Amino acid sequence: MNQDWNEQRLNQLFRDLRHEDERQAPPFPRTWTAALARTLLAQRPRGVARFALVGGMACALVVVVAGLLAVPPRESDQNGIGPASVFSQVAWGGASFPFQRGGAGLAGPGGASAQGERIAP
Amino acid sequence: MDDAELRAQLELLHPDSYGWALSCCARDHDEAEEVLQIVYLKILAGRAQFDGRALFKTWLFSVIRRTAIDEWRRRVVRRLALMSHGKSGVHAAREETADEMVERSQIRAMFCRALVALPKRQREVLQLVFYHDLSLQEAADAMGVSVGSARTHYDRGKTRLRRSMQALGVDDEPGLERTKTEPTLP
Repeated sequence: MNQDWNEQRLNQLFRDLRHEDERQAPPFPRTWTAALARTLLAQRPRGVARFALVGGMACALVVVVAGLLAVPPRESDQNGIGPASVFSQVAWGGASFPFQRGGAGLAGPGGASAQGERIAP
Repeated sequence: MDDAELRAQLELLHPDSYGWALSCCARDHDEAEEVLQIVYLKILAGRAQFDGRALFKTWLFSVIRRTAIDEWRRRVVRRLALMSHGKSGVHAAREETADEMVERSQIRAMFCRALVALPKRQREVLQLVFYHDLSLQEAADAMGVSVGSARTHYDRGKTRLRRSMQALGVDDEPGLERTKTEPTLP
């Protein structure tokens, strides 16, 4: 059969090629050692990069903490008029807070407020 | 599979792997060795792990194939960037003394040329079946295609390779035995 001939011929050609390739193949230890060396080389920059990243973060943290400690507190904070107290004064303008004692916020028709006082029948 | 076992398997398959890497690298020996190094590197680093679903050889061959494709892409980009000329893919025939060996090496060189000229898939399936003695199913696994597709490439590849060999005049070489009763295709 033509097909068989074709296969036989190809087999022979490929066998010859394989034989030649095997003769020229680099020895396994050489390729393996080269791969090992490349593994080590590939690992080194990663280790350096990781060290640099951690070091950088640590430095940044130190700078931030040092900055917080070094900056003196503002005068307004020292006088006790901090942003919170100013806000409360501006926001409510002295008006009574709905839940404040004596306020009219949630007071009922009988004058009872939300302070737990009972409404007279 | 522990490291020692893995190494032993790789060592056992090394000549075969090299032959397959050669095929994937258009018969360039330097590139084939480079690809094989990268494959071992991938395996060592755990970037390619054998999961036991296929034969070890089939798995290894698919890793070699993928790596060769990646390396080829990288080389193309590098060459485009540097505008440099690559060297020839086929190595020169080695020094031999006997006439028969010279003749054989000439046939081999022409066969290599015909093989490299084949479409990639056809070349791969023929290499896997004839060179590495894999079945069509195993070849299809290594190539990442269906068996039907592998069979089509196989048939087309054989026909095309034979025509190329005839065109190169290798078919009538006396160095390789052939059945005399068989007709020669026009």
